[in-house]
Amino acid sequence: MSATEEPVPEHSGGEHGHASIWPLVGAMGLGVAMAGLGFPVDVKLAGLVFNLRPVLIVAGLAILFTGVGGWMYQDARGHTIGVVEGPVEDSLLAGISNRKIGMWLFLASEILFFSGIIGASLALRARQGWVFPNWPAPGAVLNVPLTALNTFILVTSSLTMVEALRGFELGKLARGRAFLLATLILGITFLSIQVSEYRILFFEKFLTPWPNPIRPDLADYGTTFYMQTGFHGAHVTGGVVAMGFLNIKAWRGKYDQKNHEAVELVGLYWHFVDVVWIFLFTIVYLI
Amino acid sequence: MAAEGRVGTVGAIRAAFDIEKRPYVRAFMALALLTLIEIQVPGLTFLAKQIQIAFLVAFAITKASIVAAYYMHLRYEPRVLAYIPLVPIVLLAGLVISITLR
Repeated sequence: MSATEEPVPEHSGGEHGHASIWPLVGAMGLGVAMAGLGFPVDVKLAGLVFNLRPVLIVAGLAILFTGVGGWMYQDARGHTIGVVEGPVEDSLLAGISNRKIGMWLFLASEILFFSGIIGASLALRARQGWVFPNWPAPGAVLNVPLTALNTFILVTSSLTMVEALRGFELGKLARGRAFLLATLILGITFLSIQVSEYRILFFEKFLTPWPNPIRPDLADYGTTFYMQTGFHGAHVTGGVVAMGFLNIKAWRGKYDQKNHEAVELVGLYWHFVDVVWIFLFTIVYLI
Repeated sequence: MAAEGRVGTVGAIRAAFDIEKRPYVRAFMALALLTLIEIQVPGLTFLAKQIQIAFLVAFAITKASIVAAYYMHLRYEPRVLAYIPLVPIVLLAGLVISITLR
């Protein structure tokens, strides 16, 4: 079928498909940045040792941002996703779009990612026995009431997100757009409070991601705290960027009752981030 | 095709009715209530730490299940979709059990 023949839905899985190089570019960039974060990379040259770790991190992030930017640019130029017009897909699972399956597979990989991080923290604590004699009690270092408020904000953002989707599903577009904007604002609020909390913990309570001479007793605690909440915060940041993009497209009238799968897919990611926080709040702040 | 029949007018009206009735706000109230109760648990010093942990983990699992079921729509999707996250969750459970039993 030629590219000019119209009725082929964009998501039909046919030869036109949605293949884009940009997600792959972004993923490769993230891989390079994570490699730089995780491994020391020293290169000996003319008798000198160069630490390439910062180079890998910066280059990886630059490639990641390029990939995300290219993806958004391509999407904004008309290679839209999310045309839902009926059961036209030859999906892998009956009744479920291939994109939704893809998102769930991605979320499954994210569960494994956070399992590693949370597992490392639990292993460190379990070494001391399950009453954690050398681990600060809940509220001793961290501000539990403030974080409970932040938890409430994130849970509320899940409600507004799902209400935004419901608005688009029912064709109540103004309602959908309003809730989408509310979700963006709540996401930014969550991040702002977390940054404020980090500032206080780092500069006033000397909780650092590395051992420091003022509070050497908090070395493991600080490392696991920043690793868990930091990676979660990075995920929220990614969600906020996606939410900002969704908002721009929604307010430009790109989503309607038939075309809103992007809202659903970003929503799945957003709710997943909420689920992760539910566990992190319990493990990091309350146990 | 049977699948095409599902998206007919009657099906669309029924789907809209179902969507309108989904209890998202009630799910939110449950989440908020559980969070309010949850943050009191560390203050219940008469409970052994292990009991507190058991309560807190149960609360967290319940809250996460509510989000997954209602907000992530697993309750309204074909059940086969839930098998995708189930696989890493089983692995995670194995990891946590192996750590705690050391």
